[in-house]
Amino acid sequence: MAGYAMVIDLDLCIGCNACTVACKVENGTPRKIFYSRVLELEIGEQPEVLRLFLPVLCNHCEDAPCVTVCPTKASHRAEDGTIQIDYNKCIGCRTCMVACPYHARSYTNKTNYYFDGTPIPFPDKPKPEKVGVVQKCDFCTSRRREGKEPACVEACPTRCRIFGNMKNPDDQINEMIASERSFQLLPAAGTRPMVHYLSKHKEKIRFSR
Amino acid sequence: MSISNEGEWVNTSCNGCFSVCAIQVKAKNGKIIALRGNPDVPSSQGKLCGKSLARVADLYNPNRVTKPLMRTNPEKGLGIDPKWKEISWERAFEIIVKRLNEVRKRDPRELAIAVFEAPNSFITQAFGQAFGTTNYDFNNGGYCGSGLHTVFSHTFGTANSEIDIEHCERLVLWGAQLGHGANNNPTKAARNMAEAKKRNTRLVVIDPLLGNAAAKADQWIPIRPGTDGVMALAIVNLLLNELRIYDATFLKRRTNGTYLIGQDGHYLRDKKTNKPMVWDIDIKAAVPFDSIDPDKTELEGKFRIGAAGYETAFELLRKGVAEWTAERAASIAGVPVEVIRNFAREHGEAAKIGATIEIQGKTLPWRPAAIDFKRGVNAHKNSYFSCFSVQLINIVLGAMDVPGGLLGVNAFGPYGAWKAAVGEDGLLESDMLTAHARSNGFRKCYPANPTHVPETFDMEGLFPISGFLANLFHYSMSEPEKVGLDYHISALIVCRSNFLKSYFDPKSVASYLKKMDFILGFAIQIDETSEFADILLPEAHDFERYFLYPVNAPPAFIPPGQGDWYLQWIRPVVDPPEGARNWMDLLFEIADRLGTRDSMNEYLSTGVGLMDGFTLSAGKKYSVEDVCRRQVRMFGAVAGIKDPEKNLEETGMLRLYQKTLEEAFPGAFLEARIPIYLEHFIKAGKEVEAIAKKHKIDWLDTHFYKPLPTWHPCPSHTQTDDSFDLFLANGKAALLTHSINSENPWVDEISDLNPYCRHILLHTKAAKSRGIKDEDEVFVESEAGRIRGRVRVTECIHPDVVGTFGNGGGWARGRPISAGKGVHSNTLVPFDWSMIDPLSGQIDTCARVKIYRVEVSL
Repeated sequence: MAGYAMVIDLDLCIGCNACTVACKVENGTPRKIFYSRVLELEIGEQPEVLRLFLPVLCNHCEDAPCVTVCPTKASHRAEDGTIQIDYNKCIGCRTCMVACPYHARSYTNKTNYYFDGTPIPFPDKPKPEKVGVVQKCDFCTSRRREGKEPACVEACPTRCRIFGNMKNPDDQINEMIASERSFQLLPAAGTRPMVHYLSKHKEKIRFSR
Repeated sequence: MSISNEGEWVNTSCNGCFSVCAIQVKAKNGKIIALRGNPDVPSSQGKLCGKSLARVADLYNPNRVTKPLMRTNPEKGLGIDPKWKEISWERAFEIIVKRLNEVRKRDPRELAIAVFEAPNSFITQAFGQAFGTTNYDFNNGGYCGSGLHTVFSHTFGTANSEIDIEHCERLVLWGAQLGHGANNNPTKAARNMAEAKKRNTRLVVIDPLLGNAAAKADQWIPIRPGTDGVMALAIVNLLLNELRIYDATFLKRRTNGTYLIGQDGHYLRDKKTNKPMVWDIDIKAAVPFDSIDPDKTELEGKFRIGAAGYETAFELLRKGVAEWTAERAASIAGVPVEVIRNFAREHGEAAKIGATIEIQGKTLPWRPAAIDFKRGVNAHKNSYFSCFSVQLINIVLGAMDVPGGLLGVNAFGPYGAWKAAVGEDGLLESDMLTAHARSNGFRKCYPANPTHVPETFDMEGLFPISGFLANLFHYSMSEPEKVGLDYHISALIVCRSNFLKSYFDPKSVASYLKKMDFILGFAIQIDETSEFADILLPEAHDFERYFLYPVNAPPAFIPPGQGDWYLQWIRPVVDPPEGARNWMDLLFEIADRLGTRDSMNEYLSTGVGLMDGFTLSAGKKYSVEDVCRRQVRMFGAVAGIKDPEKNLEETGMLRLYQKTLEEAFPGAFLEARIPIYLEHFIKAGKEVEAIAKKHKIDWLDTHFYKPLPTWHPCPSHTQTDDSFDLFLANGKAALLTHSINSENPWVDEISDLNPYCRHILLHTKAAKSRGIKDEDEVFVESEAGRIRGRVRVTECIHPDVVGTFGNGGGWARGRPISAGKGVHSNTLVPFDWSMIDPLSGQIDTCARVKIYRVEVSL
């Protein structure tokens, strides 16, 4: 079973997008490609209207449709349980993008820097350009190897994102996932996401792209 | 300069907004490769906002200015191409010195200097003083606030506020965003606010727009812009007259509520000592206020002494607010009457009057209900009284500078550097600033300052009770004769301020900028204001330069309440690109060439308070780094920190000591009284009236000078043209607070994805009745101007309001990423003398507007 999981407490998220930027910095993603972003939902009418911030990223599903449909096995479950893309195997057919109900995957067929000819940021070890392949959040594999949390988790000023391993019975996220406020996006899709949310408004939240 | 810290975390602070969170930055091969919050400094605790994290990209914008530029197009105007020509540094200095010398010879006061960079205004101040002008406190401060800072000065003895979130149970943010991506100390406040939400602390937000703070609130109360004062007065009325919930002990001890007021509105004074008198319950007679235990004085009532009748100030306040009924407030503010009534009751009960809390072994008053208020309340015609009326709710409940209440941002400085103390007539007086030691536009404002016809463009002399006048320059510069000034501004130096975009009605600002003989600017990118410059010098980013020390001035950027005193710095992490230099070093060099350097050194020593042994000597050419390190060594000596420079390099701060309980919660210890009755306004008003009459200053309505709070409508509320049927409101977007970062490519792209921040917000019902649909292209028009944009039909706005978030719609050629994105709502705010609050000098940001679809002709 997959072990790594994330819990995002929507009651604490203030929609500041520190996570979105931290992800951009960490992954050097080009224009229009966000592995992590914050959706805004407006629900209901005054005086009960709700404006909700909903951070979304790859759900690293236990039953991941992207893995099932990938013709080259580029999308696969890694040994640590996370869903990864082998960029050497990916042929850019984008079937997985159609299959993913969360729209967590992106594709570009050309280099698309923010400033012409200038990749930003300037990482220690430049990441390979992901041109002509599908790309997505990898739960910050390289940071985890260094014993760090994913960049979005480290960045969050309200600490609304918690990253942990469900296989570890002492990990606080097990208790959080058991909370009454806990829910997942699109449970009916049967994907069993590893990203869990907490919200006192969970009944009202409808995820769409 | 060469930086040698390759691949290591460098401890500095972020200047992406004015809040200077402590950061660590890593560079490699001269490029920034990583940025994070400094985990060991309280301001960031290892966390940062999106604005700060995005700054990794700022330095590599290809539109950076790296060569001195001279305009070749003599014509200046909005949208007019300056036709820049690159020139050598020598040529640039030659022109600057020639032009500034011309001004200096004619009348040095004709030079004004704009700056909005907190610790570094001492540099512009010293430059100006040495040059011979005192017109150096000029910025776009129309947002934060003349009324706001003045009310905090009068009631806390310091200019800023934050709620003691840790001990609060009911937080109210009124036109404010504390802990939600804006306001001071945003990173620390965001964490404290999140912890408060985990404890189920109730959060109420009052705001025309459902912004980030309101989104997290348990209750959002949409209100019409500029009517906050009415609702606040109604709440005070309900508390005092109907619910009778107020902290009598606090009012007796810590306010002038017990002072006896005569028919003339003035204090009854002791004949011998001239001290204000109070009514002694036991002997049933008037006695000097400080001759008796405050508990033995009457808070309420009418008293007869001889033939004359007197009432306590509290009695007058209670009667005075009686006219502001909840029903009347409801109809003006557009808030249901039961919402106002419930607010008063819930807030009054939540204040737990009489409750105490044990902290560090001491029993302190505990008032776990507090209201913080900022620009939304402040930026209106009735600025002072609206802010004062909201603050009165905190005052009557005793929630002032005590655990759980609203805290002044450090009324007591470290090592007794400044303090709030008993001043004239027993009222709170602070020695933080004196009337003449101005800093960033701030000045001392109790007792009232002398009145006189203005000699400077901040109109000092006409606003005796105000503590912040930095935003009046634009009016006096446009028509100096209306203020009684007998000279005009002919030259400008613009340092770190894009007031053409951040002030109001750019057409009007442009019309006087055009008339200037000479404008010198500094630029990283060429912004809207820079387009009016004659000479532009390339400046370094704050990752590439030193600032004066410390950068986190305790009266704003060290959170109030419990915690440490710590002083951060800003030092360079990488070298600036070839050609760009620290703007302050450039000012030093200009002073060298003007021959004013010795004098500038002396003024700077005084301005930043260099003590003996650390002062700058005549005849020496210091760099900003020299001054900064000298300041660091001085603070180190004061704090007994060995090798303070190394200490800062290693930790990012000089930690002084843990605040004492008295420094953290001065309200629990102070004897100085807070005015609930503004007696000193009467005399100040008469003086201003006499000057206004003598000098034919007809725009200044001196009727505002009343000792009791009232509410005056904004000009927008009394507009007679009914076709302008909606109010304008502008809110803060978490990622765009302070517009300088809108040119950051990541911030730009994320803003594009946000459904609100680049749209024009219109309520569902207002849209329906006008036949306007989501994403329709519309014009919003006021008497001042017209903007064009796309509509977001939403429930996140008061039905009578058209709203925008952030300051978009830029037009500068040098900022192509953000140019034309979003809308520039300041275009709609009239530049009209009736917009000035006669008490504080705040500029109203209200406008009445109409909205209609852009008809596309086929």
